[in-house]
Parts: sequence; C-alpha cells; structure tokens
Amino acid sequence: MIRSNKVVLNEIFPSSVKWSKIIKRGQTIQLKAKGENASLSAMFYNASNVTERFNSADTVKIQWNAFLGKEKVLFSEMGRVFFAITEDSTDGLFDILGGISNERVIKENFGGTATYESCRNGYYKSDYENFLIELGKYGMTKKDLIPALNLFRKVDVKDGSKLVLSDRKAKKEDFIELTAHMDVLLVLSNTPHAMDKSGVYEPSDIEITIFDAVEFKDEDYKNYSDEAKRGFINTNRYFV
Amino acid sequence: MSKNIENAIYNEKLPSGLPWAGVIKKGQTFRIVDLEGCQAVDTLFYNNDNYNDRYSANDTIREQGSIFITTGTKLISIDDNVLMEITQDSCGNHDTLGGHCSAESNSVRFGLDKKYMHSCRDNYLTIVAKLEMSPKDITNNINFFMNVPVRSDGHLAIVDGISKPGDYVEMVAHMDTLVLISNCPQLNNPCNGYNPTAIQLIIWDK
Repeated sequence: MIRSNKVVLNEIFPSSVKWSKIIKRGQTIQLKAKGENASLSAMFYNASNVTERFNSADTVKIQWNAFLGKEKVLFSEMGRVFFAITEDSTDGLFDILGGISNERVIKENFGGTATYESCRNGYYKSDYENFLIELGKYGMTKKDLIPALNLFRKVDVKDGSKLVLSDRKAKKEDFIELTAHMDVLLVLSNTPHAMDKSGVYEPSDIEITIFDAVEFKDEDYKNYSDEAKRGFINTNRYFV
Repeated sequence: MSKNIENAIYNEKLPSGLPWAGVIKKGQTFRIVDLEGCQAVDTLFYNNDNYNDRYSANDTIREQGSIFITTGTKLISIDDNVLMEITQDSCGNHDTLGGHCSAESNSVRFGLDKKYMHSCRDNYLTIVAKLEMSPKDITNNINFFMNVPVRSDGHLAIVDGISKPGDYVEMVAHMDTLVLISNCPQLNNPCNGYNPTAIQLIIWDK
C-alpha cells in the first residue's frame, strides 16, 4: 500500500463551507463522501512558493486525457507532481472542465432566497466567495484563483465538444485518496457543482483523513505513465 | 465603416515564436490571421482596467456548453464579465483545454532533455514582466487554430492543425481588453505543423 495507516488528522468538512491545509510531501489525504450528493472544488499550490500552482491544462495535455482517475497525477505548472491519485472508489468522478460557481450561477441554479438573513449559516455560498475568503487567509488574492479541479462530479464531453454534467454521483462512503509529492497548500470548497441544475443545494459532508507521510517507492508507481514518472523525477530534483 | 485593410488602425505581422501585447478598445474589432496555416496562437485576455479580471477558460466553456471557441463565443472573465465576442471564424474548433507550452511541461511531455527550448510560457513571463503585471496573471489560454479533439472517453491529443493559409478569427471587444499573444514556438508536436510561422494582427476602430 502506498500510504501509511497511521492517521494524523480526521475531521468532518461540513456542507457549503471551505477548508484548507498544507498536505506534506509523503502524506495522503483521503476525502470520503458522507452522503449521496458529494461535490468539492479544489485549488492547490506549492506551499513554499504559491506562484507555482495546479495547472489543469498541463495535467490533461501531458496525460492525453481530459478525464482523471486512479494512477493519474496532478501537475503543477512547473512540470512537477503535486498529488498522485492513489485511490478512487468513484471510478473517475473528477472534472477540470466545469470550473467554479459564482454568485450569479448559484442564484440561477438554486434561486436567490437563501441569504444569511433568511437562513443564517445555511445560506447558499458560491465557490468564488469560498475561495477568495480562504485564499485571503494566506495573503492570496483574486490572482490566485486558478482553473479548479472538481471532485465527486464529472462533466462528459458529448459529440466531441458538448459539455454535460454526468448524472453519476459518488455513493455514500465513496472516497478519493491523493498522495502529496510536494508540500501542497490545498484549498477546498464544498458546494454543488457549477453545472448542477437540480435546484437542490445540499452538498454532502466530507470526512477528511490525513495519513502519515511515507517514503516513496518506485514499485508503488510502476503502473504510472512515462510522463508521470518524468514528473516524479522533476519533483524529486526539487527536493535535493 | 466597412472593414478594409486600408482603414485598419493597426496591421502588423508577428513572426513565429514572439510575444505581443495590445489593447482592443470597446467596440473595436481584432483579427488574427494564420498566414501559412496550422499555426497555434496562444492568447490571453484581461479587463484593461483591472488585470485581476481575466479570461476564464472554465467560465467561457461552461456558459456556452462547448469546449471549442468559434463564432458567437463570448470570452467570459473570472468576474463574470464578457471581455470579447467572436464575430467571424473561417476555421472553427479553436482550443480551450491545451494551455501553453513551457520549459517544464516540455521536459515531462517530450523528455527531460527538452527543457531548454523556447516556449509560450517564457513569452508570457517576458511580457507580464515588461508590463509590470504578475506571473500569477498567467492562466489557461485559448489556442487559436490549434486542433485538440476530445473523445467520449476523454482521450485528448494535440493533432494536425485544420487551419488553411489565410484562415482568420475575428472578435469584437465588449470592454477595453488587453490581449497577450505568444505565437507558439513549439517544435515537438504538430500544434503548428513542426514549423512555427508568422501571423497577421489587424485592428479596426468601431
């Protein structure tokens, strides 16, 4: 097994809010759906130089596929590996196409009635708001909003070009594990996917578990692509 | 006013491998001509009054429901503004997914020995430095005339271009828009037919 079994952090990440933490090189973060409507958006950065950030275009171009899943890696814009997707019980519920929700999208998809005044902490937050707030805590700004990785939902490409949010959702207890190959500042927003037209704003809680750091072993990554392996070499060189 | 080359307010050739920056004012029309065909033109867009408000590939493709840029596409910013709208397109299927090449991604894609070749990211870093913008202003760009089909299983590849010599794309600014171009120098894949070539950039007043 690629990761340790030793848990260093375990908590519930509630519906509609945001979360952030530095995941250290060698640690694995497990994200587990606690309901049937899980949907996260993620932005992530080199914790020691946030100018180096996740690059969704490089990630799909380098790996020859717009879709992601187990044994794919998530590249920084410096040709290094932030995370390897080391487990995925959802069978590929990842999305780099749909982007994040903003206030207009939330109003269009879920109506404009759920304000703080009417709903207190249950008000309908957008990813845009969540990310700006959480990034601000690290001195980061709108310039740090990057094309996001969405987890637990997938956008299909029909007829070669049309974008359609797949009906397929994660089941309760489905999980995704991301193993950090650098110290990664991970910022998450737990809101409905920006293309979710169901009208029901109730993203599931997510259980977050972080497992202790391990040394990387080549045999654990033997099934990864040559491109991913070159990414690991670039990453290892960074830590010399 | 009809658009003739004679009444353009700007009409310049941009050689292969070079960056370019220009402001297209609200109402003005901007045309990019692929002079020899099969060239990739990596392009970024910014609200000229606030560079933080920049082209968002995700917002643009989600709102139109399609991954390709063509006539009718509105280029949407991260703050949900329409920067420009594509008004004419003799080619179609301009790419939104492939991003731009860099020394570092070249090392992963083509071999660790390919790191020191000229790249679009170097062009962008040069130009954002000269304009006193930030490297953080660089984001996922449009690749005009670059052909990246996506299959239903997600498979994606930069394949031979479909643009012919003289193909062009034209867009009208909905707000004053800063346009940054890297006329792609990539030599390792067919995005520009392994032979980067010049483009023509033309601006007409409204």
